[in-house]
Amino acid sequence: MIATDAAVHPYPSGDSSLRRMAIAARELGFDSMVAVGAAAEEEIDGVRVLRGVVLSSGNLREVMGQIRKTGDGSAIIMVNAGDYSFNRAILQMRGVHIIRHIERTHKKSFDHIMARMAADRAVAIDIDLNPIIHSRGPPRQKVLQRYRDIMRLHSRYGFFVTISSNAYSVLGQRSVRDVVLLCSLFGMEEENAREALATLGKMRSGRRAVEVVP
Amino acid sequence: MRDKRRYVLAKIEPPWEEVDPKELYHAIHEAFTSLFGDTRASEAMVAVVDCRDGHAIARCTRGCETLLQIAMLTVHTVDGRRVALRTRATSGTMLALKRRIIDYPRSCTVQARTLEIDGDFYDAHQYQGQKVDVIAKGFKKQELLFLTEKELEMKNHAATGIPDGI
Repeated sequence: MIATDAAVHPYPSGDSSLRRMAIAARELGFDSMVAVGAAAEEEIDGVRVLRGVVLSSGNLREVMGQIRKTGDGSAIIMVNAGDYSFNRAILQMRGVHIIRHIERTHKKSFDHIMARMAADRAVAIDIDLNPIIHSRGPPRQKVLQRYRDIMRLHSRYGFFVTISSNAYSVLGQRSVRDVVLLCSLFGMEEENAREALATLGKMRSGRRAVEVVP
Repeated sequence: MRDKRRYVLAKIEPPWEEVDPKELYHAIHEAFTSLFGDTRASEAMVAVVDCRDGHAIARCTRGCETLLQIAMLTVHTVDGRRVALRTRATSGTMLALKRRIIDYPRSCTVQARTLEIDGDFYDAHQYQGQKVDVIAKGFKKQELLFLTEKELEMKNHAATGIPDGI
């Protein structure tokens, strides 16, 4: 998987069918996408559709229970970020693949300690393009600022980063080239953006960087 | 002295949506100003020079074309109608981009038709073979659904008129 859209929301959450979104993804240069709420992993018109599960509960126990229910290994489990202690607990939990919506939380809810933990535990941090496209003014400025902070931590600690359109419609999906352009708004270089698009493929293949233990 | 210009070609989605060039200009200009500020907007001198056949050509000064492309990516509504602008090419002449527009419509001719789902009639636009956009008119507002021909062919329909299994 060279380019994966880390989250799309097909019908009934969105207004586009899964097949239509897969066709759009293929035309936009993606070879795979994570469909939130999809029944199973499948291949549609040359696009690998991965099953995504979003856990939005702010309660740690509920999240643990939901991971246990859905954690058969086939689904990509994404947890919406919360406050500092919640995020830290999530990072220590098994089965979590992606933490998303960090930009909606307080600035101190993701710091260098958690960046290191995310790198150690191979948990990815998601960059959601939806607020960059749809919001205006101070809310978007805040989002861009948070993404710039995340990229600073990423360059230092090397944790995984994924990029999602978080689209509820085919009109919200963006091409690989568009993603690169939008990511340049918060200082992400093309190489890093393409690497982030390939992150889920890397995570699924289970290949980790070789670490030299002294 | 006349500044050097750059032209950006963008595909308008959905292609059947008739977009007014003036409204499109306002949307792009608002997106550009919101992202890069008045100063850069005044330097870029953004304009929409052509808008037809599901495509638009926007103009800016040389050096601002990447900014214009980014701004166009953040346009999501034009005059209250949901659209997406997919930037396709940048050129120093309009002629080169107009030639491209002539080539594209053959592959995306839009066919308007009426669909019957569970006894109800819906307006639909079919293009690029299998893409079907269904306009479901509700009591309060009209809803747009993006489906494929394959899904419409399915015999089982839910009560809402949406085929099962999508």
